[in-house]
Amino acid sequence: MKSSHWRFSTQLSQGDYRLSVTMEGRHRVTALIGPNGSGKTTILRAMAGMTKNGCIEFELQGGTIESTATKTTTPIHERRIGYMPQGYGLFPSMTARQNVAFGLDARYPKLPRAQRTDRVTELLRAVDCEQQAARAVQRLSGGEKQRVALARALAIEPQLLLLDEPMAAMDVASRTSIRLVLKQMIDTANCPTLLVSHDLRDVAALADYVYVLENGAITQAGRLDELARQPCSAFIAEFCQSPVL
Amino acid sequence: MTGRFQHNPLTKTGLAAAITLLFLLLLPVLALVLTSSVDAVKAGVSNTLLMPALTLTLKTSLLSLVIIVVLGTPLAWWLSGPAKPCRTVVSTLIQLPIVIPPAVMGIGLLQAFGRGGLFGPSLTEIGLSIPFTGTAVVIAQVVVSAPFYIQAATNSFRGVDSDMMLVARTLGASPRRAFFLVALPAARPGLVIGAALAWSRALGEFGATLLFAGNLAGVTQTMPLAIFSAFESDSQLAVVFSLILAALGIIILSFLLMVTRLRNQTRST
Amino acid sequence: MNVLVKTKMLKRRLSKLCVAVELSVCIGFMVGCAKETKNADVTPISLLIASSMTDVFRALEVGFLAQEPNHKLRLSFGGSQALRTQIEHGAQADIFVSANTEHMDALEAQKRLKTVTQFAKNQVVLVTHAKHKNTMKSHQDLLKIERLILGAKDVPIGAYARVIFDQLERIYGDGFISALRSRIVSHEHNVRVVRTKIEMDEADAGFVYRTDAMNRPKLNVFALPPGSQISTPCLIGLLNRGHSINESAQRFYNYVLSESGQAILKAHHFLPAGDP
Repeated sequence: MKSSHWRFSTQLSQGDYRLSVTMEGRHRVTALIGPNGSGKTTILRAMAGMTKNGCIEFELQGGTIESTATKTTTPIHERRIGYMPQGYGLFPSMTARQNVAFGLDARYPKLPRAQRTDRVTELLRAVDCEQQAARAVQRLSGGEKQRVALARALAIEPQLLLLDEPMAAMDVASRTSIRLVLKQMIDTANCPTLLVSHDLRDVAALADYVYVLENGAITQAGRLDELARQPCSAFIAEFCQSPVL
Repeated sequence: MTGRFQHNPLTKTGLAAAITLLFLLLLPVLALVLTSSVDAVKAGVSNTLLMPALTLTLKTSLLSLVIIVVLGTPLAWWLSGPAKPCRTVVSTLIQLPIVIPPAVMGIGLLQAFGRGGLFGPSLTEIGLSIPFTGTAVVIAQVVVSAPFYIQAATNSFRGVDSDMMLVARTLGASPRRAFFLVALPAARPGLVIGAALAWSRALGEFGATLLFAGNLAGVTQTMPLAIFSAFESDSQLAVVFSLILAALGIIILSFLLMVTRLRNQTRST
Repeated sequence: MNVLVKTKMLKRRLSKLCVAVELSVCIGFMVGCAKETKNADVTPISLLIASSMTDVFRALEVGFLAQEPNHKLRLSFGGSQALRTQIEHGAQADIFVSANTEHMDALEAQKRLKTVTQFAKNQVVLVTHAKHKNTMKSHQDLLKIERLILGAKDVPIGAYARVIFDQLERIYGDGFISALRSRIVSHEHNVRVVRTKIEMDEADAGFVYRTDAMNRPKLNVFALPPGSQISTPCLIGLLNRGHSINESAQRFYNYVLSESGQAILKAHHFLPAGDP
């Protein structure tokens, strides 16, 4: 068995809300699925560093990022985690190029100007947005926004990429082609990825391993075909009942 | 943008009510223009009271604006966070100067900073005396107009996407860097509108200034006080002064409209 | 026509009626504010009174009503110049009480006055906060004060203060007076604000009327040199108000000049008009 890229567990309770989860990233792309309100986004935010009160143990590429037990925590801006939220969270006052450069400026303030420019151009080329570099992000199409956000997250050479519903903002007609492009880019980036999605086609196309989160707990984990063969809950059965498989 | 309804038809009585109010709102400004003459304006502009009052008003109100923005922005940022009891209490307290008449604030300021007031003795000890000075004018303006900025800024910061802020942090920005490079630019249109509102409120400050700062040409006599003083000797002069202050207000209003339109444009594209 | 339709129509009419009534009430109220309602029984006498005479006119009101209970008075106070402006802009008033002749003369020139009389005299005094009582002996001591407040130049007390300054300049020279002038921190809009700010200890000294300084424990009257003392007229004017002459206003006017009126004025430390 391969050693894992990351290992994350959390226990938190707030009023009626309880979350108790342990996940491991042994494959390149892991997917986290679950009904609305099951806590998927909360988990991604916790990994990025937005912690609520609760216990967290988080290891990444052999290092401890956060541990409630030993009371260690790495500040958000010192973690190497690329976070792409739902809606992408592009900085509206900046151009595409400035968005991509943001992480470089923050992480490597001493990077020479020319080198910085080259790196940004390279990143934009990798996501096929070189033409749009000088454009204000509001003027980008949905697919372009997604790619620029991905380039921005990859600029800091993350050890883990967190993608929250990357296809949610796309119109149905263009999803298939955009999904293919996204798959290519994730393959090229060669970075461990945790993908949150409610769409079977995303999971089928992108993920190697799937965790199912229901009511604050992992109900099943495995490859998608394993889940489809032996679903342990109504939600999973329904999720896997799709003509795509 | 699409409105809630395609049409908002008015009944006849509604129309009558709307027109009556509109008329009442616009009539004073119209009357100022109509009852003034070119000669009166010339005489007013060359009046010795005008320039000291106008420069003092601009100086103090701009200084007040800087103070309000510098001190009010961090407060508004904090207030825009998730609802907590302490936040609710603070944001309610901040509204107080809006609902309390400025004259009352003026008396309160005298009781606080006046020689006979709460901090009077300690201020005198360190050689500071505030009433009857330009400082008093600025304090009065800040107290009375800051809530308008803080409220607008808080609302604007509330609209800043928290995910976007988290992204900025994951990209390596410290909280300070994320605030200045991401939150501030994203909230800027709202901040500008709030600042303009606060500034226009400071320009018109009268009650608190009169009571707390007094009335001395060139020192504490701002435009509203000069208008009041002129009214007692020569109402024509007061009309001209009022026109000048109204013109300043109209400039601010058109600036506001410009900013709002700009913001709507960037949002819709 | 069935009942339901009828009630609906009735309701609609009623709501229209309500709006109409509300509107007419509003308009009636506005008109009422702008123009005095002519009620034959108790037409209130409307008086505009210089703020320096606030207390004495409240006492005169009580005295007058004790004699003539069938009347109603409406008193309004302010700086003489502000009241004059109000009259010039059409304020409906029967009587104007002023603390100097300038404003009364102006109204007379505009033919707005029926008659005018001087009914009492007052004096302008320099007061300091009571804490300065033992340190203020000579005119040189005046330069120890930090904050001197005057009335604005269009307020009678402000105009009088400027006359006194001129006289002090003649007596002590312009060096002294310009030093004193440099202590001025504010020009207030009426005499009572001057007094309040001194009593609050926000200002050290200022000019007020003698009657304003009486029985005020926080104030100390500074004795001005003989050549600089001025006495001021207290004037009462009957205003022309349209064509009708207000009978009640005439009665109040007479009362102020009567023996009982004069007694009240004397009790409030006003000097008789006849005094030199």
